[in-house]
Formats: sequence, C-alpha cells, structure tokens
Amino acid sequence: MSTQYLALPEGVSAAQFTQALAEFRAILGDQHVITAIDVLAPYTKIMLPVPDAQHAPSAAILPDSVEQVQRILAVCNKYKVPVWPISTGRNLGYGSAAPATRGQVVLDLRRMNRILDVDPELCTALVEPGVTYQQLHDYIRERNLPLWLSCPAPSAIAGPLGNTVDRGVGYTPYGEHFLFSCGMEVVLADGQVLRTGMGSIPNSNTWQVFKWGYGPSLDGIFTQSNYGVVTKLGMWLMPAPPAFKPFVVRYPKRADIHKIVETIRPLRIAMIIPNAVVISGVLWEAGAFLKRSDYFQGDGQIDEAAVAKIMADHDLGYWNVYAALYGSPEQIEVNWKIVEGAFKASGGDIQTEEQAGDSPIFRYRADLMRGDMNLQEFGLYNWRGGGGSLWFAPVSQSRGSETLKQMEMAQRILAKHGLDYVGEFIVGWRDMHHIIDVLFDRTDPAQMQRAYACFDELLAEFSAAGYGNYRTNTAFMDKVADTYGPVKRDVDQRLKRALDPNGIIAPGKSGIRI
Amino acid sequence: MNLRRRDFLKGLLAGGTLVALDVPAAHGSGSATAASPAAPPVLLVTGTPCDQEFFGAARALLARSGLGEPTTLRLGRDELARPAALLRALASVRGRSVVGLVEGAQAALLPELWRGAGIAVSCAGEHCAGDLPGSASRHRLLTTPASHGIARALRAAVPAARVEEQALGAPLAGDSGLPALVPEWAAATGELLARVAVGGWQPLAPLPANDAGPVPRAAASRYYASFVLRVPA
Repeated sequence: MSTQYLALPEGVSAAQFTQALAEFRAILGDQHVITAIDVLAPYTKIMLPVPDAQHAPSAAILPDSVEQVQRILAVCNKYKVPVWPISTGRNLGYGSAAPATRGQVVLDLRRMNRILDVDPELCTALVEPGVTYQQLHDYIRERNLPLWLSCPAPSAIAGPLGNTVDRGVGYTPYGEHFLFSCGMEVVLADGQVLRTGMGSIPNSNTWQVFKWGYGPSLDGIFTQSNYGVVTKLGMWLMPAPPAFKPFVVRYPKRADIHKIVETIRPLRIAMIIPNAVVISGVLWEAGAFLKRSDYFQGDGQIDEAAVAKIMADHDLGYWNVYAALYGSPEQIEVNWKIVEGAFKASGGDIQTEEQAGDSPIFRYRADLMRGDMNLQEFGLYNWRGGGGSLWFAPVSQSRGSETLKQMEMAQRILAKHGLDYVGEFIVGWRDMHHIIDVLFDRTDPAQMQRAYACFDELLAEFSAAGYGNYRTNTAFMDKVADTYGPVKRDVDQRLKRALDPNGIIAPGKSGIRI
Repeated sequence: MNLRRRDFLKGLLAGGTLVALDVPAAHGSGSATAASPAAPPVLLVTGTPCDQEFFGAARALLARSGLGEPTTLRLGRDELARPAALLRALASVRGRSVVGLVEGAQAALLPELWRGAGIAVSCAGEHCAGDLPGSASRHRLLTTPASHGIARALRAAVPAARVEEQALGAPLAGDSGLPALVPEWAAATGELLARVAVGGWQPLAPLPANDAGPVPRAAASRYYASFVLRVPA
C-alpha cells in the first residue's frame, strides 16, 4: 500500500499516479485535485454491508468545464487511471459518491452547476451535472415561472442529471425522469463531445424538444453505463397546473395490495391519475417518523403485533396509497368523482389534503407529488439506525397477483435474515418499481453479514422467478448484471471496448468493464 | 457565544439558495487541518440525549488546553432538516474546527453536505447505545492519520463496548500511552474528539479488527454520529 495516497488505481504505481495527478493539477489547479486524506474522507462514506475500503477512492478531481473534462480523460488514457463520475453524489443506498471499485479517481462534477436554459413556453431546461433540484427549484421560484419539477425523495440535495442518468424516478406526472429527458451532451473517452438527438445539428434549436434525431437513438446507452461522461442534460418540465388535489387512501390488510393495484391500474393507464402513484407499506410510512425500538426490541423481523400497534397508534394503513389529480378545477372535479368511486368500491379509506390537516407525513408525500423539496424520507434512517441501507428494486407488472407475490417473497426472505420489510411500490403506467429499503446497523457486524446475505438471496430468488432489478448499488452491480444473462453482458462489453478501449470511465458500473 | 441569532440574520440575507463554500487551496494535496490552530473549536450542539456527557467532557478538555471558551453553535430540529440552513451555519464558522454530535437521521444527512462544502473530516464516529447510562454500546470510528488510534483509547475506557476503527491513510503511530478517560462512551468520545480538534491527540496504531471486542446487544437503542471537522477558511 502507498504511504502517500488513500488508495491507488488498480495496476497503476504510486509513481505513475503521482505523474497523473501532476497533470490533473496543471489542468484544474492544485485546489481542485484532492488527495488530502481528511478532505477525501467524505468521499469514502457508503451505507453498504461491505468494508468501506472496498470502495475507497484514490483522489477526487473537480473540473469546471467540458474542456477540462476532455483534458482529464486524455490524462486518464495516458496513465490508465480510471475515473468515477458523480454529479452531486447523493445516490444514497446505491453507493453514494464512492466508486464501484477501490482506487478510482472520483470525477466530481459539482462545480459544473450552471442552469444553462429554462424555457417557460416550451417548458424545457438544460442543466449541467452539478445543478441540484433545490437550485433549479429556487431558479424557477425566483423568476416566478409557471413550472414544476419532478424530484426523487432526497430532493434538495440530489440533482436532475445524476438522477436521470441513473434512471431514477420522482412522483409527479413527469416521474419517469429518463422518459422526460431530451438531449444529452456526452464527453467520450477519446475526448470527442457528442450531443444526442437534435444536438448534433449545428445551430439547432430543437435539441430540447425532439428526442430522436436521426439514425439510432443513443441517449439510453449513456444511462446506467460508463460509455461517456454526461455533461449536459435537457429535460422537460411540467407546466404548473391550475389546480392540484393530492390524496391518500389507506387499506388495513396486507393482502389488500391485490385490490389496490387492480383499482389503480386502469386509472393509471388511462391517465385519469397521471402521476407516479406510491403504495407505501406501513413500515415505510412509520419509518419516516418513528423508531423501530419504540415498538419492538427483538433481533428478528418486527412482529405483526407491533405492526398492528403502530397502525393503531398513528392511524396508518398497512398500505397507504398516495396519488394526485392535476389540471383545471373542472377537470379535477370530473376525475375526482371517478377516482373516489373506484377507491371507495375497493374498500379504501380516502383522505384529502383538507382532511389530512397538518400531518407531516401527508405533507411530505404531497410535496413530492408537486415537486417541492422535502427531506422527510431521511427519517427512514432512524427506523433501525446505524447507517446501513441497501435498495432492492425489482420491477413488477402492475397486476395485483404479481404485486402480492413479490411482496410475500420479499417479506419471507427478509424475515429469514431478521430484517424488516420496509417497502413501497411506485406505479408507472404498466409497471411498478418495487422499492425495498434493506435497513441495517453498520455498527453490528452480524447485521452487516445478514444484510449482505439477504440482498444476495433476494436477488437470486427474484431473478429465478423472472424479476429483474431496475437499478442497484455499487456492491452488487456484477451480480445484477448476471441476472440479465450473458448476451446482454457481452453486448455491454463490446460497446465498452469500442467507446472506451482503455476502460478509463467508471469500470464496474452496471457490471461493465473492457 | 451563541450563534443562532447571527445565523438567522445571515440566513435572511442569503435567501433560500443553497450556499456552497468555496474550496480553498489548502484542500488540494495538503491536509486542511492546519488552519487557525489557536482558535478554540466550535461545539455543534443539536440536543441529543448524550449532549451533557459528550460536550461536558469536550469542554473540560478544552478548558485544560487553555484555548479559551469554545463557541457553541446550536442547531434545532428545523435547521437540521434543511441543507441550506446547515450550510449557512457551517459557513459562519469558516476556518474553525467543529466538534459535533447528532442523532439518528441527521447522521445520514449531515455528512452528505461535507463533501460539497469542501470540509475536511479529522474523524467521524457512528455510535449505537442503549437509553440508559452505562448500557451496552457499539462504535465505528473513521480516523485519519491525525486521529489514528482513538478507537484504542475508547476501547480501553469502555471495555464492554464494541469498537471498530476504519483508519484512512498510512499510520503515523507514536508510542504514547492511552489517556485516562471517563469509562462511559459519550464522555470518552467527547474528550477524544476535543483532543483531536486542538491537535492534542498523539496518533497511535489503529485498533486491529480482531481487537474490536464482543458485539453487545443494545436494546432500545439510540444512534448517534460524532465528528471533528475543519471548515475551510
């Protein structure tokens, strides 16, 4: 081990790395090349059940421009030093800012934080990687623009570019973020700058309004991948609706998930409910503001009696459906009759915003459904405590029987490992993201082992049943890639070899290497 | 001195925009822990159940060090939930060391802001402890060369505790002895972190993994994060 650096890139000597750093400093200035261990320490933080050292970076470098990114990649090719690009690095539970493998240099793009354009008529934006949702939110509010954002739950501190290229989701009608992106700028490993879609046409003014351009559509290969460094992202923003009606529907029984999904699907496909509906399990709901130890002190999975007491004490359903209507008051009035009738017929207990009053839990969900900043979801880290979090994220059909099957599988496997089912479903048009936060205590080595083994088993059983994860954390990227089969891995690798023959961009991302 | 009022006024002036602290030149290859060595550290107090033990011990150490009365930065629940408010508070103590203790979810949120603000972390701890004084506890300490070995001292002070050390960087270990500490985790940690903050800790070899101790169960547990930061000037 080097005595000078926190870690070294694989296959790179300390002397070679020192030379590469000198060239980075010549490009960026000394202050934007971080090797001091105490300043680098925050880049090492992970929430995964593996040793931190496995993901320790060797340095962090902070460019301010596309031209600097191009020059950095030239140095990386020269010395075979890999970089791990991050935008804001708040991919909590998926790996945060730390690289997939030890020794990569974090390419921290947070200084590239310019909002390049917001068009209030076409409802589009063009942003750099370091722009946060809070920054874009403030920009829109300060100018009183009639636009709404769609943000993920870490809202304020996360950023639209990073979330979109990792195919994250939000909770408004624009909640499928990659679907509502339009145009990327990508610095390729050889330094060329590609603008996707209409962006390759000189003087084009349609880059942010027409996705497809000409020939193969390339945007998708730059998401969840390591084929380039995305330095600009176009996105569509939602016009602020004249009226907004958020509501919650609570159901008391675990098996109710079947009829909930059967009720929602036709409303969602027909876009009567236009937003990414959340079906939040009781422990997700409770975890945002309660501590597990206040109800259950055992070491295994929380028991049904404790869950029932939580529901009774806090007026929660076993399932809590959050959705909203958007549009003119007249549109909402018509659609509300349809929605209210459907949920009442299914036995749900409906509460509107007025009925929910000042409930912070309702407020948190309502904020997310209107794209406002709210960090209440961080409360989940109080549930078990100890700083461990792994998101298990299989995709399900929007079909009651499938949802129930997935939920029961997950609950059984989590129970075997003494962990709680803290889950929710985010309802797309025909699919659902089944999001399970595997929460554990990193101060307890036994829980670390159980959490790892549990995730492994979840992955194995779900993939054996035909369910794939839509996204995963840096500790399990190879294993998730394996579940998609050898042909997919081979094509991913061939693209990598063609676009990044030295493998300098984020090796290991989504299991892709040269 | 209590900074809450001043922070509030600064916050009003700054508006709601997320404030990023500029990264100074000291944050490149050299350590940032050398700034303002004579200024007493700031104590970041957030109202946890262990504040009395943790900050009491830290204050006692600082009083012995002769650096003068430490500044106290008090943050309430609302401020802890708002990144812009947290960053404004940290911006008000530029160039200073900060010794802090937070509980629960703040332990996940607050460290996310350090990276973006260019803050140096001399050491950081995660702690799980029961509600009652003297109850079982578990600790994970992240240390840098200036704080290597504090896990040894905590382990020695609280023999029933589980203590792991994740030591970043190559050890600069000396052979000085362990300090005598109060045999209670929060007080012992408060004193150790105050020592690190004033440069009064003599690094030791990091605690080996096989010396971490037994894993006590801690029923009705609370979770805390402690830290020593250096905010860039």
